[in-house]
Amino acid sequence: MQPVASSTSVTPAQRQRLGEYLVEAGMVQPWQIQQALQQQAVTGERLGKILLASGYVHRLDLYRALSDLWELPFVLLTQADIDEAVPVKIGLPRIRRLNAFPYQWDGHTMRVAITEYPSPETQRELYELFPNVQHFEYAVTTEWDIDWALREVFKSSLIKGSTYALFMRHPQESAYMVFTRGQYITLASLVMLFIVCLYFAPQATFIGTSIFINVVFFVAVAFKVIVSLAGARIERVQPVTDAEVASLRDEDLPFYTILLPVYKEANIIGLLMDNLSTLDYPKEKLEILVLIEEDDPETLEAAKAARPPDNVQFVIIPDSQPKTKPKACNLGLYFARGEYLVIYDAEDRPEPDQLKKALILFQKGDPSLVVVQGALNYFNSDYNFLTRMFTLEYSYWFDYMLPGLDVLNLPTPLGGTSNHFRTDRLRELAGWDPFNVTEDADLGIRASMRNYTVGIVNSTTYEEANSQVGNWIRQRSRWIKGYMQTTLVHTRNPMKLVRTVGLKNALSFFLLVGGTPLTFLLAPLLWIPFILWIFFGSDSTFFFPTFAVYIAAFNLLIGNGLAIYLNMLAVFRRKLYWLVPFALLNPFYWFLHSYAAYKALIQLFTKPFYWEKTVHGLTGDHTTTA
Amino acid sequence: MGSLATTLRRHEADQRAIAVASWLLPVVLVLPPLILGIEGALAGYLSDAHAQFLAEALMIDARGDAGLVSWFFPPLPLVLLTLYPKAFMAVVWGALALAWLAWFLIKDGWRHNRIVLLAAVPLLLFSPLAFNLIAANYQEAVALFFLYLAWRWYGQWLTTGIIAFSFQAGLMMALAAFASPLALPLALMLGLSPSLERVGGFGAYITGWLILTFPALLSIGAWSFAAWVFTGTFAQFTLGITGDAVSLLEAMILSPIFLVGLVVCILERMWARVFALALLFVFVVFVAIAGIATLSMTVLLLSLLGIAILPDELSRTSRFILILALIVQAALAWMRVPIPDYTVISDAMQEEHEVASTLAQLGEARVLTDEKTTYRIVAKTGTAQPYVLPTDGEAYFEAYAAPYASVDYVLLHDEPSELNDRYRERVPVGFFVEKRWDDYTLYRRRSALPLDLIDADSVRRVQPVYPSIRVRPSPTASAMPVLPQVYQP
Repeated sequence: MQPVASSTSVTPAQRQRLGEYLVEAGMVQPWQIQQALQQQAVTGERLGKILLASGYVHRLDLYRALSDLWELPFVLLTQADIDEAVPVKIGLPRIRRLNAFPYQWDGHTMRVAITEYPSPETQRELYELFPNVQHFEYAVTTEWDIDWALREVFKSSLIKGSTYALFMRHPQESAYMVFTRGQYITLASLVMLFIVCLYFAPQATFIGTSIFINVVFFVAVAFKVIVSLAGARIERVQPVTDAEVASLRDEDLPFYTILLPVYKEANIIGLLMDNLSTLDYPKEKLEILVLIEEDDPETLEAAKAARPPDNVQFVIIPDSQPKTKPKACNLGLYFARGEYLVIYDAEDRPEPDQLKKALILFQKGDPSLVVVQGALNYFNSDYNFLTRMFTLEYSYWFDYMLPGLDVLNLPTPLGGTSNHFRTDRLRELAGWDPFNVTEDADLGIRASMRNYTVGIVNSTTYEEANSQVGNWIRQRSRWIKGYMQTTLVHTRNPMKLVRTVGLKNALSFFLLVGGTPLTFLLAPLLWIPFILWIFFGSDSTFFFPTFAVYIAAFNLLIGNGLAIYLNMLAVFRRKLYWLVPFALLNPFYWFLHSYAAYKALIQLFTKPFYWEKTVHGLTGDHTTTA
Repeated sequence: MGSLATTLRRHEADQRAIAVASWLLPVVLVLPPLILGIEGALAGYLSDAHAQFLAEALMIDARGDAGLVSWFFPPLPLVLLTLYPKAFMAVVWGALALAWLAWFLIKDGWRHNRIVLLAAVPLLLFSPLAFNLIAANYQEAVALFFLYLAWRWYGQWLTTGIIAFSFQAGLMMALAAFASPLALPLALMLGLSPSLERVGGFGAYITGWLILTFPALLSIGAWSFAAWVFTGTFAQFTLGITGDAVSLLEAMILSPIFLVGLVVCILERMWARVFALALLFVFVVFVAIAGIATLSMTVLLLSLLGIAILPDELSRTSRFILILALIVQAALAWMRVPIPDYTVISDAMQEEHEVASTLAQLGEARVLTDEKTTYRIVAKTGTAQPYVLPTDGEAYFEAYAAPYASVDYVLLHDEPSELNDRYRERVPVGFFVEKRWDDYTLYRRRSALPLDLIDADSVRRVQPVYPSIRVRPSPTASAMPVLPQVYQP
């Protein structure tokens, strides 16, 4: 989708007049106009938009000025009586495209709120839409008013669309249905088979199970090493260089939307505004949509109190179930004007060059490249044991694993934040699945299924690592549950998956998305006999025939060792040297994973769509200095 | 346009020629030692090292259980040989390892325009030293290959600072540790030097050291742990192949390229490399004194690693001097290190061969022996079926306690071991000396066939009948008690 035209469309002759008008009215200073004109020469953006983004003029003042200049009345839709049948007749997408909101009809005159001077094409289209209307009366309003009016008028359809769009368009790809009948039957059959085998041949069953578990681990470890080796290449070939970033011209930059879903984040929303202000991107080409839930007035108040610049818009998400981040993002997607779009979390600190690097990667990449993932890491890694281990894990995942999947052209589950999209392709994919609690991972897989690709950009977003065990368990159990959901969704018809993405990609998906929760669930089944054997010298041959012992020994010694080593390398590469020895403590950290995995498994049956909220801001403004 | 196309075609032709040469040259280089080695193996020649690995591999093959390994040997060469346990295969693996090593040297030499590296391929690898590795010490050829790769990527890390190279160096070191315990001290020493070139603070230094060392430690640790699980003792796999201490002086005389390389680095003030070479020298001193590598391995290790660490850009004079040193080294090797005629079989080998061939015709588990001392006979038998192995198995324990009740023959060696010590002076009850030669003694059960009557037919016809006795079981060989002989004929 092309960036929606600015709300301050004026002719060259009027442009000077707009500046003069604002100066004469005392709304801006002459030097501010001068500076905005200089900026306009660089970016090619409209004067009003630059003034707004620079914070030199208030939105309301600007549009009132335009209404004077255009000699049209001004209307605040928030205070107007809206005849809902009128906008409903032409529909939300057309209103967004035309930037014209028909809001009243008295049988003779149709009143239309506009943010741009109506072009002949717009006027003609309106006449065609309302052939009985004899007279159109245009009134200037702000684009925020139009967005607000749209949310009010189309509230129910927006809720429905942001919740069920994927389910309605591609029901087989939605996690709305957790298990299909076939999956239930298969699962029940496997459980029954296990019980029957256990009854008739307990030893053989245990042996078969232990072999299965060990083979799963062996293959998973081998897969991760291969992918990591491929991912190590990214260090030698930078996807985007600093020189490429420097060569970008501001006037060539497209409109970019940032989606910021926040919920109960009143304590950090102000900080978020500060973090985003450091982004190296022209503000007039940047739209920041803060998605705030209706039942969270504290965050809204805190956000307002932070006095955000004028390119920040608050989008209130109507209170409805499921109350999940993907649903909020889907709603935000309706209002996104950017050609590109990125998601950040409330506590994110993206590197300033990230938008530009992602953009360059899109430009350099194949047209099939629809999403670019930035690396994630933590700014509070030295806070406590948990944050250290989390940093080790993330460094490995984002610096080795995801680049490896990229290099090998394998399906890539996206990380929860810093996902940059081509907005039109994201809409084509029907946005995020609100019923999937790792909607990001699922979206990456769905993109792969349509032969779209995911790129990895060498720019990092720093987040806050979870520092409390309970909070960590909540977050991790949600992630693991989401991986389970994603696996269930895409294995409803395994043969179709193989046909669609190919055997290699399907196997990679099984190993990565299905294998991750599976290994966490199975790990205790290996650890328990091992610990019993170590401490009590129990006879393990009942469970493990000799050849299974070899695989188990390999997994225990080499597999775990390699996993630890990859973690070491990842933090070494990030120059977090003091974290390297902590990699040796990974086995203790993995216990927590297994606990979270079992919690996730229980929730999959009891509360599949429940979004375990992660509390942010627990470490205050603690930042690692090492 | 036409000239561009011609140039491109020529360039492609050059690339193809390079590719062909990089494959062809290694093959040509290893072909003579490979042929010689295989010819010797087929004629009956078997080095001590090859015999030890082969005996172990045959036992695993016969029992179909890798858990029966004695844990005394580096596992990687053993696993390779177990894939097809024949004497000539050891030679093939050795040749493959050195050919692949040559391929890497050629690739690196061409890519970085390193003429010294290219010259090293024929001058170092077509020498009696390489011949000896291929024909008599394939496990060292395999270890040399991995150690070189680890060193190669270590050097690239040193030069570029790219962590991916340390990753690869670490992984290679892990594999090298499975091929030779030399990898661990080498990794420990390598880890000491990067800080000189890339000072990143103490943290970077220590953790860089850990990054390089961890995989090798992991390999050694894993092997030791597995040995403990299966045998109750930690691995002692340096003991498997004990060699004589190598003369350091001899090794240095045969490695002028190392000394010249060191001088070149000093003259060109490349102190990080000087330090790395000094560490390498310390490492080789350790290797020589510990006697855990042959002279061939020591010299090739010193020379190859010494050359690999030299920078891409060297003055013309330095390159000339280095190539001259390589030529001198090749000449010295040919003069001072003879190539044994592997096809000439000694009387002792002939005797071993004959006994082994005879025992090979026996049925399953007819011979009691300790393969740690009689590995040559076991290897030459070509199968471990006739032997009661492994030595920590229940069957072995029973046969050890009462041979008359279990086996037809007892084969001993003069080297000390529980079995050899027990029956060296005291003939097992119901047995008598069938044959003594060199360091071996073969006892025969009274009712068993004499050696010269053993053939396939007679073995089939004469089935042994062993009296039934009860022997108290014992968990491991290490805890094996010396039991009274319960059977009296």
